[in-house]
Amino acid sequence: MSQGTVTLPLCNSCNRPIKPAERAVHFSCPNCHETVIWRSEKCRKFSRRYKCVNCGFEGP
Amino acid sequence: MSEFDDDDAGSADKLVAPGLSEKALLATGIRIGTPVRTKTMEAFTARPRPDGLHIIDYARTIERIDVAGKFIAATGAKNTVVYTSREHGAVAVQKFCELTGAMSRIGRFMPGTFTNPLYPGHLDAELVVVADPMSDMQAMVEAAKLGVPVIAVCDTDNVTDDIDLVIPGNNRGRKAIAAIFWLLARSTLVRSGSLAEDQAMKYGIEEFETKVEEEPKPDDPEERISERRE
Repeated sequence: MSQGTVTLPLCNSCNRPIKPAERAVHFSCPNCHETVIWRSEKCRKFSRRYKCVNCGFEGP
Repeated sequence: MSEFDDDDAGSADKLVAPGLSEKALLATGIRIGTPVRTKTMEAFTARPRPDGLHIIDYARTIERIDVAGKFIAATGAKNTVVYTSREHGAVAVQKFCELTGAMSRIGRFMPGTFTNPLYPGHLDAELVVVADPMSDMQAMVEAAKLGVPVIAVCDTDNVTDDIDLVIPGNNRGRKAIAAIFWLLARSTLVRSGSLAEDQAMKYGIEEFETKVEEEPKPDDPEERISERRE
């Protein structure tokens, strides 16, 4: 059986890895549409800020 | 003239969009908030009025409408669901969807519309736009379950939980909600390349407004008596 590593996406707000079962959301940056923004369930619920690393757009 | 008089504020010469001056936009009441301001909406409010109403920074409203237009155009308007449960936003949502090709849902949001594939009215949404997060909660809850991004028009008293892009603006006024959806439709069409920046749109803001029908006046008993005599 081969062993591999799985890279989990990181939340843009809290930088924690997002588990596959988590109700997270990901979308391309609304402003530049070049980077993918991941928001964990908790950060989304608490309305924590996210920032695009490419254009600097801050949401929500 | 006071700086708080919204009907007289703004410049008539400065154009926000072709055929829409800053003065005409502010006359719709787009920046009038509520006496309550939530922590998350603090960043979008400018100052409270002497009567206690919080005023929304409308420059940020226009900036966010532009960003939302880019977002909808990039995702594809055909994959976007626009929902309002409020009566006064119904015409604005319908016109927006007619112009951009988005899917509209008005009135009661049947639970399972996004989450139950067996429901006949099931919709596959890639992006959800709601007019008021307080009254359109069901659509937001289902979008959150599926991991679909949500754009919401938020007033000063709205909580921005589960929202990925906030458009600050007055979502209670008939004219204000019409102005927001008109600007959003314009921005979406311009960003998707179907409308030139200096080109006028098919509909004006007035056509995005929900018309209020006047109630028939109660019959005057004296008039009725005179009619019978004749």
